Amino acid sequence: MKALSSKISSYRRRIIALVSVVILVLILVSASIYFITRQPIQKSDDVSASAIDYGPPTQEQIDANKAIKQNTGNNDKDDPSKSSNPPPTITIARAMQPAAGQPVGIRTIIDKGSTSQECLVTLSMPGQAPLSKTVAIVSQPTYLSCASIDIPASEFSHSGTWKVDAQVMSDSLVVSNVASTTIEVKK
Amino acid sequence: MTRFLTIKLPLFIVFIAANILAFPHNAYASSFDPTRIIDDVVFYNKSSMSVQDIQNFLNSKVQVCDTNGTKSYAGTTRAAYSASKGKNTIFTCVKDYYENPTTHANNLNGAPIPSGAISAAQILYDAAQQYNINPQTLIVIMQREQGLITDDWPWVSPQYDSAMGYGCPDNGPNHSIVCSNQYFGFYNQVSKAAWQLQRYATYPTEYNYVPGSGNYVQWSPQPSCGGTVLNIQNQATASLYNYAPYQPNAAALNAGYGTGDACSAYANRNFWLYFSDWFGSVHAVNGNITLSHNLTTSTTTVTAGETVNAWYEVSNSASYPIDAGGLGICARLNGAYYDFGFSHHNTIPANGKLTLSYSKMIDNGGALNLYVCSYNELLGGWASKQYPYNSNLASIRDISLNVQDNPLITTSVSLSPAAPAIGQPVTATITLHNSGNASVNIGSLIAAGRDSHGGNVDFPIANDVIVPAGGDLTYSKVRTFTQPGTYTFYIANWNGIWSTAYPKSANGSIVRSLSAVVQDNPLITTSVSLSPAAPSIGQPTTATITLHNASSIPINIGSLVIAGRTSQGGNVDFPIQNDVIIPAGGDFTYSKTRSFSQSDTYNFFVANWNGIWSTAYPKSANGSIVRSLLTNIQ
Repeated sequence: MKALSSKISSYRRRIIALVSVVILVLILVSASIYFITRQPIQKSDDVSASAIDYGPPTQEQIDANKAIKQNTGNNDKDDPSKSSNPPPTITIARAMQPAAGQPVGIRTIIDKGSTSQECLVTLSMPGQAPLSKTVAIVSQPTYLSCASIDIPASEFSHSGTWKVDAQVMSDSLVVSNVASTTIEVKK
Repeated sequence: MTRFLTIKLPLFIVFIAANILAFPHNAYASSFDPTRIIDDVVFYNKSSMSVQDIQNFLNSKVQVCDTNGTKSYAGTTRAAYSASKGKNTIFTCVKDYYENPTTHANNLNGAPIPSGAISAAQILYDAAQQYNINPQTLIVIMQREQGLITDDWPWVSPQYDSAMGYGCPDNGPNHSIVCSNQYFGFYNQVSKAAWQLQRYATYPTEYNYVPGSGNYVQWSPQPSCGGTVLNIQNQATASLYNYAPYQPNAAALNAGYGTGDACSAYANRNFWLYFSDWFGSVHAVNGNITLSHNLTTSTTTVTAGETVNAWYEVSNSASYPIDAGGLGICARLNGAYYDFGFSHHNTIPANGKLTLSYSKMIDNGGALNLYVCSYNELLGGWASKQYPYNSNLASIRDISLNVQDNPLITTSVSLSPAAPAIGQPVTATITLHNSGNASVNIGSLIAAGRDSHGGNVDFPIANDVIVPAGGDLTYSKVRTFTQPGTYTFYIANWNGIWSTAYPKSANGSIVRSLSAVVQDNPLITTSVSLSPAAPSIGQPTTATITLHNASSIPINIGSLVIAGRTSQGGNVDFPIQNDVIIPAGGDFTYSKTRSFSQSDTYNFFVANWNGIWSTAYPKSANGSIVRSLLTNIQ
């Protein structure tokens, strides 16, 4: 019984040693592959290689745009304003004042809607009269946004933290969410 | 243990292997930096491809165009599928596309190439040049927007009509794209997109995204997917977001060119993928090192002798210090080496700036060209034309100045008297003016002189000639001449080398060289005369002659006599005058008296003894002087 137990113990030790070696080899191999595959890519980031690929495109490069034909139907010039469409959502992309005394800029993105609608941007501070600006929705190359809003620092009654609210209006009615952020204004 | 060996160990090995296989892909995706998708210097490099390069590239991406749509698609032919969608059924690939930029007539739908049409490659190239955009940038945007570069059966609508996706906001139902016919057409699309990309750089604050912090960029058109605030590192990246305002999420990045999840957007991911795969790295060597302030000079009007200060500023937008390499301000004056200064290793701190400033006194006039110069081993050596990289489209990295010569000669070289005599003091004068704000040492100045045989008759040299700031200097030197003759006088300068061209003349009327005749001295100024003019035998007769000494010193001409000869050659000289000394600037009058004892015709003439007898010296002041005369004495 003791001999059997000793044999099993010896067998276990050998298995553990073998497994340890296998794990170690795997770790070393994976680490090596990791660094071999990673380093050239990182290096390529630092080198301005002007190697133009004059080979044929890969299938995945071609397939990346296959949706164009699949999604394009006879209605690709439909007017979105005539479709049943959820209300637009407005997002504030940037609200900033580059330096004290300079205008406060508000920039937005609108996910749906049309250029016939308007944006209402309100800046408020407790105890101060709010500032409101209404601007048109304009078409950027591939999306809609509110026209750029740049409010002179002189229009702000006080320096400090102002709350910015932006929303889409249609026929004087709010038709979107209210996007909010704050901005530190320095007159 | 058996369980470990049969289940856990294989699983573990599979796990490790999966990770190994996953490494390249993850590393690939992790190289996408949403704050720096591409470097400005790459994005705006309009010189990356020629028209032929672009054409070759387009040819390589569609080797055979399926013009008639005969290949199968969706269980039918491409032509039939297109017809079912209301599309064109004759396909023109972009490599074969031509359009007249004015009339917009084109060769789509099997039409012939219109008169005046240019190729798609030419359209891309022209837009790149006009708006300072890398044509590769335009190619990649065209591919990511409509897949037109690789498509071997493209549709007119939307692929050509909206080739760059310009005027195609994603505000349709379910964020579908709705293109405006206002911008339809291949030429219009390329031109408008290139114009727009340049405008983002020219008026960055007008748009949503600018380099710097505080830019909220969504993951997708669906606002509920969220986004992150990015500290955008350069204008090119800001411009890409201004064009397509979404960043790829992890699912998009992990999918290569494939589909991510419901919150994935692909425009900027695909831009990065296509650009990297087709044109190499989106990053330039030391791409964070940019020219943040134009090369500037302290003055735009330079006069030789003035000091010009030139400087520019280089920025490092990286969050770590960078050795920007060798930087300096190089210059060429009239095409010759004239560098201001250069230092070899310039380490710019993280997010820091370095001002390179050098001064130099410009000691000559002419065309002075200054330029930012750089040397970087990683860029293959001298890289002045492109590195440090332009930070915007209007970067000024070279300046040309016209350096006015200074000092200038403002009066002609002149002699006083203009026609001197031998021994007469002569003054040569030259005046220079220094219009600069510092005195100028021009070295040595001389009114050089040469006789008709090339012999040196220079006026005295003036050394260390310093022309005062804003003032004049007059060279005025005196000398005499010992020989009559025609001499040439000219301005010469020694400043390490002899030059007859420096200093330059203030205007074209300045005489830099002249010829002057040095006259004999003394000269006989009155003719030989007798008094009485017709004497009688035995009558005292006075012979007179006058000489003038124009020099500043008395001249001893030896002995002077009015010699006389009878018709038979007999000597009837008037008394000789020895040691005739003519005072400086004065006259000497020979006047001797005698009488004659025989009737005859006498010949009287001037004779001089100064070691030898001469009847030619002193010379006459002019041609009317009578040096000999015949007289009948009765």
